[in-house]
Amino acid sequence: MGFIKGIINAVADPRLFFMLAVLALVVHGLEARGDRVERRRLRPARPARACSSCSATFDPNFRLIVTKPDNVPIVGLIFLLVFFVWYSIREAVLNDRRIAAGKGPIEKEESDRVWVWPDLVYTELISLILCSVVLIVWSIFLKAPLEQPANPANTPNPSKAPW
Amino acid sequence: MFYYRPTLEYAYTDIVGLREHVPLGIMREMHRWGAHAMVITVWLHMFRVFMTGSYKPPREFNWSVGVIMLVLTLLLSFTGYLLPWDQLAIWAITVGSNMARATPFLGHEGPGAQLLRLGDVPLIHAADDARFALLGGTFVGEGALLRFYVLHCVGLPLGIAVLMAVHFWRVRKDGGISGRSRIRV
Repeated sequence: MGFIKGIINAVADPRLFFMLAVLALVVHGLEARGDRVERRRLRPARPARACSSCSATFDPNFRLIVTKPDNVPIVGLIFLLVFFVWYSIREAVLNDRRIAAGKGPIEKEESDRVWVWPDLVYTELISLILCSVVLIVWSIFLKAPLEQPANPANTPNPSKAPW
Repeated sequence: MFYYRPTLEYAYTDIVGLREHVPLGIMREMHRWGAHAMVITVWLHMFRVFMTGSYKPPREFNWSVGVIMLVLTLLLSFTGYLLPWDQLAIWAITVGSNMARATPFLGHEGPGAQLLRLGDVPLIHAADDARFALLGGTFVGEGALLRFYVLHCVGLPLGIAVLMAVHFWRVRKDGGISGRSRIRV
């Protein structure tokens, strides 16, 4: 475990990481130019990533950081972002296929007008109820953190903003 | 606002009371997690707008309004951070507000601040710069707590409410929500 952490720390050094990220972007760009739709080749990487995430949860420090109530939404955001990137790229690829077949994007085929009442108001009402339920359940299970009263004479170590 | 008093004496105990004495006891949790959810939603909304190309004309004005509202959302989070008046609050705001020292011209450590002087008298110094205006003092104390409270409960919400009205009005004027299709391919 320590060995793996050492490798990750070395790779995550900002100088090295930035160079690697630029390199990966260039390689990806060159690859994508030749073959935009074929993404199945990348799939084997997914189980590997899932395994590394799962193994990381065995590390007590990692678990402590991830399950801190204030950090839970940040972790959630990572998964949401991955999901929405996948979703938007999927829509884009589908539209690319349609354009390649000479059909134009799917948005052109329909009128996107709906009635405010009842369509929009119903959707908004249901979203409101769902969000309230999620928020109440979230609030019941995770307590908002509150530290010791403010004391200008006691600088915590490290004194840095939590974000 | 019914249970909380923004003073050094009461701020922290009122927050504890909000958990211990107010019915249901999850008001503070709802506020905090709701705030997190709002920031996440705003980012995801921005992401969607970007991915669907909805920042392009005729919606470029609305995109700019949205970016201002993103900043206001983050400022709401920032000002709300101080109000519990615990260790995290005071030191996070101390670090965060120190950035205002480096404001160009208006921060006493910022570029160009040295140029603003009358003869030998500097116009911008530690007790008269952007950070001082933000904190109402040279350190995070009672003045900062009151200013952040007023900004959090009055100033920023008013600003964001006006911009939200403009935002929704422009959505209608610019041809409605743009987005993905309702028809599955």
